[in-house]
Amino acid sequence: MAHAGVNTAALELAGVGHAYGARTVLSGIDLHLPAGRIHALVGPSGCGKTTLLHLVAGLLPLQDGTIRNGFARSACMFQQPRLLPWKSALDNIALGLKARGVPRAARHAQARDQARRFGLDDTALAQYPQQLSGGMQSRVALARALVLAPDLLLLDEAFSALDVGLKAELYRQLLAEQARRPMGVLMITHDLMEAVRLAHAVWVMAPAPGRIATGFRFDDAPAQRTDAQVYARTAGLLEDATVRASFGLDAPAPAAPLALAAVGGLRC
Amino acid sequence: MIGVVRTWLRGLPAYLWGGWGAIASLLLLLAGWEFASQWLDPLALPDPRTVLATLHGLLTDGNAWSELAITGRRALSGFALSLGIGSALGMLAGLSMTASMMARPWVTVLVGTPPIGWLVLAMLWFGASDGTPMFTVFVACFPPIFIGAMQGVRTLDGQLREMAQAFALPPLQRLFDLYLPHVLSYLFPAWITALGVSWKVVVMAELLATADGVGAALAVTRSQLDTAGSLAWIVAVVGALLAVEYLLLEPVKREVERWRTLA
Amino acid sequence: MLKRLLAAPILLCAFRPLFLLAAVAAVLCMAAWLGFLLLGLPLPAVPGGPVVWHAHELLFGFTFAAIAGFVLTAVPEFVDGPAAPRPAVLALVLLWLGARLAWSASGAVGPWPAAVLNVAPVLVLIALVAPMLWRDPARRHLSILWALLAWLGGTVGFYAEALRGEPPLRSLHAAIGVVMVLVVIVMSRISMNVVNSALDTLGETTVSYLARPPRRHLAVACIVLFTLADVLVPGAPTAGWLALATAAALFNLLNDWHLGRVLLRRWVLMLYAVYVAMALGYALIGLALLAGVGSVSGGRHLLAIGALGLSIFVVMNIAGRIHTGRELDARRWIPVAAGVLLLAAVGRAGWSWWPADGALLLWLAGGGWLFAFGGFIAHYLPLYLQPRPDGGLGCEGVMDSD
Repeated sequence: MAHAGVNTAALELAGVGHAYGARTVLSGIDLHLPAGRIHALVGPSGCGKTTLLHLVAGLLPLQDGTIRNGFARSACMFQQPRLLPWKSALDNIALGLKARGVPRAARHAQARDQARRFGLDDTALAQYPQQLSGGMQSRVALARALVLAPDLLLLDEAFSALDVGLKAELYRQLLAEQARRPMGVLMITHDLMEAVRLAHAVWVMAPAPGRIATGFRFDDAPAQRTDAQVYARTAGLLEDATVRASFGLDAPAPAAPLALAAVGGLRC
Repeated sequence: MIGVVRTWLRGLPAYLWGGWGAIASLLLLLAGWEFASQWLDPLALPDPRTVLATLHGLLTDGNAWSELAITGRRALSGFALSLGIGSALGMLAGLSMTASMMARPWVTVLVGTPPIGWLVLAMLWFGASDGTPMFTVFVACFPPIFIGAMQGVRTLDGQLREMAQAFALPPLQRLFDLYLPHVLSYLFPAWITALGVSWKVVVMAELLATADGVGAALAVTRSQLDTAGSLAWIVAVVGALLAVEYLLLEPVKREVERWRTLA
Repeated sequence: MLKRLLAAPILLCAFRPLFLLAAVAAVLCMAAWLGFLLLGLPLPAVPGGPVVWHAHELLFGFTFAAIAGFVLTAVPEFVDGPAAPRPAVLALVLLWLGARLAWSASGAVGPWPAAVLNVAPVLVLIALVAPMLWRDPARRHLSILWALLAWLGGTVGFYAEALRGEPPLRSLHAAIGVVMVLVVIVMSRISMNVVNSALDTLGETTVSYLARPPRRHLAVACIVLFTLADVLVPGAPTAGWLALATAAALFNLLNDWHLGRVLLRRWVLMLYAVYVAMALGYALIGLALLAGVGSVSGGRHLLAIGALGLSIFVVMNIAGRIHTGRELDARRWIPVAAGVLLLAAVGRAGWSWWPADGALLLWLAGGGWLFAFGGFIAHYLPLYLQPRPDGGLGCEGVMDSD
């Protein structure tokens, strides 16, 4: 299995809360993410997912609770590619390496290596972001995060603006990278199916204030999941009363509830 | 750095050749001038060839170069002063919301005060020295540069700033990879505007305050009702401005902003 | 008899008779002109004298035949319309032949028959292509129609001046301006094909050629302004500035062409040389008008030989060949002839700079012209008298298929 015993680092959240002024957006979040696992936080817009991720990434000061990040290196990918428009694709990928003080030749070689795995050729690498298609920009953004060889990868709605084909490709690349080098991945998304496809654990958040309402575990390897499995599990999750309430859906459908356990899901 | 110089040199022939469009439109302007001059009294508007011949005469007898050099020195030193101080203060003001809020009315006061008012003050403070035109140029150039720098910093994409934080860019890298490229795209147009202002203002200041320079020469031609001479000096000043802008600033701007044009 | 003539290969497509006649007119007219200038042989007596005969034949004879041949072949291709009906093409050819006779006889019979016979084929040409150009949904090629109407104006203007007994030079100068506009418009279409297929041949994938409309519009506007000034106030310095502006606008047009070594491919280089000659021609005119350097006539001849002659030569070699179902001519005589034509243009323009060597320069210029268009006749007469090798029955070109 991917999570070999060497890396025992983990991300540990206990009682994390956050307020913008008088408005509490997060309260009492507990989370344990070990190396080699992918955890997804799903929830409707405004449930504080992004705030939580920003807290983990250190982009916001922590107000309440504790965050113990045992991973040595973390990297981020955002919903928008957020590339520097005045730098070539190659320099964009190498940005984080430059920040770490890797010399120019070495960081370019690493960036080129990573880019090649993502199907970015030298022509694309020499171009500026706005010369690239949206899909290419997303690949550059993912390569910029992965070239850092992070132990912890934070994905903030990273795939939500992409078309299905591109999503599938980036999923494949992410999972392949994870198989090569086990890292913890914390992804937030509002797309339940994406969470079910990629994650070992799906935490469903409910708004006002943002909190974890329930969670599910899927113990099989994400790369092995078939479309049919993913559909069935998503449907199963959507049958769940807590999940429906979190997303503000109507009461559970009257039909006989689909047993989530039958398709491989376990309530945490 | 050498790489930048090399790409700049390699792009130079194409850039210079690209100037033909501007030359064509300037020649059309001369054609319009020539056409208008045929209907007007030569005292009101001499034809362009007479003016160019006058200019040629001024340049060959050597006086024009020294006057142009004096004017150029004053304009450029006032401009350089403004460029340095205005850019730095503008960027600093942009970093703080409070500072930009506070600076706005000051800039409005600076913009609203007519250059001629500054000139009168400068004459009182600096007399007939170089300080008068230089100070007037400095004050006239300051507002656009200050505003450009401030807006450049203020408009920096918050998402990119967040990205820089997430990727832990050290302060120097943040300055050179994030702030400067963005701010420059605001600063360059402001610098070019200010450069045009500096040439206009320096001539005006010289006309009223000094005994040498192009402005003083214009005062002489005016008193002699020498329209051709006046126009020749004006053409010389405009020509010098075009040369500085299109041979110096514009190529640098293109190189710095290459990422913008390749869409 | 008529049926057999209409079915003959020479009438398979409009360019066949018209390009051939254009080349024949080019050779005959230039030979007669050299005979007159250098050997003292007589020319037909016409209103305005020998210079007007020479200019009239090269413009309304040679140039018009080439324009008609090109427009009737290319416009149906541009707008996906039907080829001109063969009887109409035959009528146009006969009118054109009649116009040549009538003009040279106009000293004896008066200018009226020549006027009618020279204006008529222009009207036929416009009648044949105007509906197609107008019906094109986006009306992308309407500028060709405006240029043809301007040409009609030039032709009518010429005879209006001639019938009033004035020397009709202004109409001839206007006609040169119209052709320059037409060359710029037409070459923008042709060059898209020629330059990009040359880029393909070189395997260049990173750059592609685009004839950018704004630059072309500026150049055309400058030519039109200069031509108007040249006709309304001949010799005025305003026209001089406009001529210089035109030269700069044409140099500006060349920005599109600077894509690396593709410029050295023969067809690309020849089209490029047309623009250079045109720009230099206008620059010479401007310098002559403003500074009295050289002569306006030298500049006009650079336009007429270097820009007009070379562009017609190149276009006849491209359109006049691919539409017979053959690949472009790869033999060496083409670049040689183009080079010789350019030398001819420089030589003729140089006459006003070195008048002492006038006879030598004239022989050189005339000889270059005769070589190029004589060569065209020699190489193309057999092609035009034969059916297409690919069995085609019309104008379709080989470049269309790929």
